[in-house]
Amino acid sequence: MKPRLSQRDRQRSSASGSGLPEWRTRDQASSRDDSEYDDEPKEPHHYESKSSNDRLLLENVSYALQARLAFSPYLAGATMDAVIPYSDPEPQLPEPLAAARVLLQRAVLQRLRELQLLVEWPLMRPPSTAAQMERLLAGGCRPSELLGVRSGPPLDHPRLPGALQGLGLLGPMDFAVVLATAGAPLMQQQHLGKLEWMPLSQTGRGGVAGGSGSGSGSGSGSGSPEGPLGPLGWITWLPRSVGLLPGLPAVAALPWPPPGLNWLREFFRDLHPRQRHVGVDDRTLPWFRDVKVAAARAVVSEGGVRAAAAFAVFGVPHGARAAVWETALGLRRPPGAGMWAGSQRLQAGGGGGSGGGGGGRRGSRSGSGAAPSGFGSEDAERFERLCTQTLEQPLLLDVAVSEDAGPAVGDSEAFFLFEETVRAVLLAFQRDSQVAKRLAAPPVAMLNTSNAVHAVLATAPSQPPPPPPGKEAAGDCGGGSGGCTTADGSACDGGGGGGRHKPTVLPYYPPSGVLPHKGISLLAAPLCYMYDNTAALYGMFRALYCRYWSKLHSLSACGLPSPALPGLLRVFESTMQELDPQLVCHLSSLGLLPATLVLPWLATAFSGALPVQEVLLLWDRVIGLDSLLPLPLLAVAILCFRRHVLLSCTSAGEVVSALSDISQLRAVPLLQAVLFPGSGTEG
Amino acid sequence: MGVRWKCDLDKPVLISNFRRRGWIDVTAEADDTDGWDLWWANVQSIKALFADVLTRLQPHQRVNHFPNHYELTRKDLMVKNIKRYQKQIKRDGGNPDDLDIIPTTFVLPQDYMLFAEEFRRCSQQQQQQQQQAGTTGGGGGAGATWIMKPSSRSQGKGIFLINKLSQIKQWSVNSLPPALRSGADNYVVSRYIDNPLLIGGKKFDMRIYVVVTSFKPLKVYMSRLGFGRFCNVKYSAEVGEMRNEFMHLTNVAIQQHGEDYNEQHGNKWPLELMRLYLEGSRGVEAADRLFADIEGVILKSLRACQNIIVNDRHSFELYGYDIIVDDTLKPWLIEVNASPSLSTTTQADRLLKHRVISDTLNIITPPDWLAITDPAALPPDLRDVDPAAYPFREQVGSFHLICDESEDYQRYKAAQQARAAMAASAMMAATAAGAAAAPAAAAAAGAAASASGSGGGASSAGGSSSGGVAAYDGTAFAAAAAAAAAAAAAAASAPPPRPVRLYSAQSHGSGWGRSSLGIPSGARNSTGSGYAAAAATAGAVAGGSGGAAAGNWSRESAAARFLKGTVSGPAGVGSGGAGGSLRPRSAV
Repeated sequence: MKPRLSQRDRQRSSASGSGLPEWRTRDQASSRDDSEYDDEPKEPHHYESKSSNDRLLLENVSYALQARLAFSPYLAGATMDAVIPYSDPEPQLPEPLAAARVLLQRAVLQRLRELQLLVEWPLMRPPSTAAQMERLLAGGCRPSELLGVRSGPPLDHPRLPGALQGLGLLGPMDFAVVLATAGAPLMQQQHLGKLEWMPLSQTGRGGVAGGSGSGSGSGSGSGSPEGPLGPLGWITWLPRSVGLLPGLPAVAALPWPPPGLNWLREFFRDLHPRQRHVGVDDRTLPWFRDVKVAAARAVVSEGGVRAAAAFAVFGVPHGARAAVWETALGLRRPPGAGMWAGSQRLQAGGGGGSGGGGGGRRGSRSGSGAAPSGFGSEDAERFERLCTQTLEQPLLLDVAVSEDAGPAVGDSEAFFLFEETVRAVLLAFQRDSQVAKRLAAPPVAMLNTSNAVHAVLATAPSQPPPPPPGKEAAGDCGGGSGGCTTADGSACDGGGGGGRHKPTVLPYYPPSGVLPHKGISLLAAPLCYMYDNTAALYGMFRALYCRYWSKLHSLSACGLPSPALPGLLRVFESTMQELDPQLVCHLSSLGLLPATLVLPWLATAFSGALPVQEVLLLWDRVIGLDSLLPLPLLAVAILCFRRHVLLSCTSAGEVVSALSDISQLRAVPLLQAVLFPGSGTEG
Repeated sequence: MGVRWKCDLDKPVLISNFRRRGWIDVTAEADDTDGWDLWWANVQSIKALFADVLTRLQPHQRVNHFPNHYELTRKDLMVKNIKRYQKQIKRDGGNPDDLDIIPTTFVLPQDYMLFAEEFRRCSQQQQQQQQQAGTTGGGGGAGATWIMKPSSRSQGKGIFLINKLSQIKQWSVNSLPPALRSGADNYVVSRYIDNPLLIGGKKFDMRIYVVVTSFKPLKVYMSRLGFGRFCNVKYSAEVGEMRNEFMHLTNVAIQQHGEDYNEQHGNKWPLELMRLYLEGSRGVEAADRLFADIEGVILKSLRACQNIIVNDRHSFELYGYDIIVDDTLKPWLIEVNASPSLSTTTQADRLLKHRVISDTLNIITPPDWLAITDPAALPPDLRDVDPAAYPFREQVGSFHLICDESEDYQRYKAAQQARAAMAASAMMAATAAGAAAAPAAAAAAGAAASASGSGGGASSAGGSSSGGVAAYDGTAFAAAAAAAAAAAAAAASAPPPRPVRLYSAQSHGSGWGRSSLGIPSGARNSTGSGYAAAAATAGAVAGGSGGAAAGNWSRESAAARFLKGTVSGPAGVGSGGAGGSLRPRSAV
């Protein structure tokens, strides 16, 4: 009883000061607890006691969730083996990857249920009424400004206790587990069925950092409870047998051979140190930045997509980065072509977004000449519309998004100021139904609204509820002239013809089809350094996610030159094996698979691990080469760069802590060093 | 014998820095004015130290405050000094608007009448603007917002905002008999900057670290490390929020009691990231201009009290500048702290402050200081270097020089400009040589000659400067430049393969930059006899030819030329430079 008491007090003290709605548990037992122990003295807040308290809390929450999972009325009829049909299956997906995908889908399902039990929200909350919306927007705030607020009136997200904050539906850990288990000779098929997932409550800030293992076979219980292992602490969660594998078995089944070093050298020839690069030479040559800024302006005013990409390979000076990226991604039209592009865009929108194939290409209105950013007022309106929809129709997944932005962005020294911006962008992104058809790679699990499992989960009829009577009013006070919104949250951003739009059945849950992966907020956060304007930031994030980052959250088998996650891991493994087999051997002997070590870096494209400047310089190369290959190569470079440290490590914990802080590294010189050794990074 | 240090403050960042250098802790030892080399003192110790007329510090001893440091760091005195400087500039025919670096400020209660007048004027102005804008604001007779701060308290204590004169009745002139109006109750009242630059909707101020090693001539270093201190709560200019100090005051001492205070980052945003953000969102030029303006603000505030501060040559000062930026990206000086907080809240904070202290120590213990105090502490690459040839330090760790009025620096700068001009002309010559046009090469050489001439003219000793340029180092390029006037074709025929690289030449190998310590022989009787011997030798060699001594690499002769250089002034410095030219270029 005692531990339970103390953790409850902690919850209270963490939330009581704020006056905001705290983590609400509506079941009778807990409310009785509350009243019973109201008079108990509050536990003094000690930093030392925090981690142990957190662990107690986590264990209690896990236990409660599991108990309720077993008896929950929400889940009557839905068994754990229910498989969510994949809406857009990749037929040629090789067998182990397909099995891995099924496993991940199961994990999503389980976590989604847990989340539901934790916060007691249905998949979709009842939509806000017109009057509520009016009250929300009464202060003259734009919806996008309200959206980012962490908790409180606009979204009414529950405020979770500290240890639970940052929980995620799918994380790099889960990818590591499935890629290691699916197709592995050690693991028989029946093992797959019984694979135990890290409970949702353990994926939060307390669980991962604490490394408190109640999960499957946490082998090396490296002692210290917090801190030293940092963001990679979960590695010790992996089954030890994973370390014995020569590589991730699911990855090895890809149908194309891994590229050799010579192929990579040819592919990355522009990174050769004989060229001058932003990120290397601008540090020693003061005039170089000015030259590059002038050149970037010329490239942007010319407006060629290829020219901009070719320019970006050598790095973009920060002041001109937004414009060059927009040009390279085709988000910005050269001045003069604006009207034409706009009208074409309208037609495309009316035709049901048929132009979305290449991913993320969108015509901006003719604002590129005058406005500093290529995004016009139309994009701003669309963004505000998505924000209004979020306010009108809260989803269960909003909680997951919101929690992801909490610790990853809110606790980071570099990003904490942008927490609200990032949260607003991600919430709007979820609602954007245009995203699903532009994704360059299919996501792991697309929940289908017409699915029976979903129907049970939603505790609602499978048909979306009829639009509320106040629909028109709600659309009006959202401020968008074409702001036709439907109660089921499906977006209509097809050019603003409000009249001809009829409410359709929501194809995906959430409308974008993208589940909030752990660390997705870190993919948006660095962009905050490029834009002042949230709508423009949203446009850039959407384009980047559709074209590149979606591949990091996919198990697609697509091949070179721009592979998805399995392909990236394969490139990493083969390059690692070619360059430093000794290090691979050493890590394996410690029970660590190199690929699992670098998965978290890949999953956030190094955002949050490297300093912001370096992340942006790295992304310059991603955009310039139109490929994610710089990411695994940088991972190889980091491991090789630290090889002496790593070779002297004698336990998995030491390796993890040796790699936990890479914030002093510089991306481009490392890439050059691994690709072109001996030629020397000059200067 | 290492550097002996004393430290009055029990701050880990300081102590660990001293210890890491292997210096000797003499804090606990008896008060012996000779028993230390470096003293990180608190304000009381400084007062006692400089109040004692009998104390004669040794020339090499260093303390971390100037005797009357409060002239700049007490809020009321800073205002007084800046106002006086403004008047002086106006008298001299300058533009006083350039000195608009602090918000309108009055000292209470002395300036109460002036303040009341200004207050009414501002309020009227504001109401007119509101009427023009058509918003009949809900202020209800409330005027402009002003901020009241006690003159000599820190950490945000006693600060509040006002918008009615009645709120500060007790500071009006007649409310107290003069005897009770002591300095302790002094307040300054400043116009509140109600349009601060907001990032993420939050107000912030910048903490910028500045090291002053001398006021006359002024020598100032500014660090690129620093941070923005952010409020927890989103900013709003609403009158009803005037009492919300979590929204208006950025002091960490206040903010860390806020409910949203985050222990991970402590609401501190590194200055480098702030610059990155401003470059991205406002453009490179705007960010560059802002940081140049901040340097300007710092320099102006230091110049304002340049003649007031007692320029004790033993003193240096690490200032913490508090600067607020408004939404037009104009920096405003809020306050200068002589003892910026060295307590640390987060890991990043600890690293930052550790580096700031470390770089500060590097600034105040230049190689020539170490050479006589603690030769063993010299960095290995400087051990064998002639003290006269220690590189001029424009960049010390995170700090860079933003002002140096000393003649040495003027000469160094002129030479550098001349070199840059020559590099540029060499580039031109290189391109011109491609066209195989002899007249073009001649023209380029002429440009080089005129450039070096103008560079020389800027310095006090023109002839010796350009000669010094020629002797700067022994590379073919510099030699060619020296010969440029005589043989233009020679310069054009041997262009460097990548002329642009010359910009990056970091070696400031001439002897012009070393700080002049002016240490007489036998200055430190306590440190071994070796130096006394060196000093004796120095006396003997000093009369001899500098060129002969320059060829000799022994420590004695190095010390000798070092002493000669300081005694005989510019000429000696010139020969020191020539001596330096004989050694191979190092560390380009």
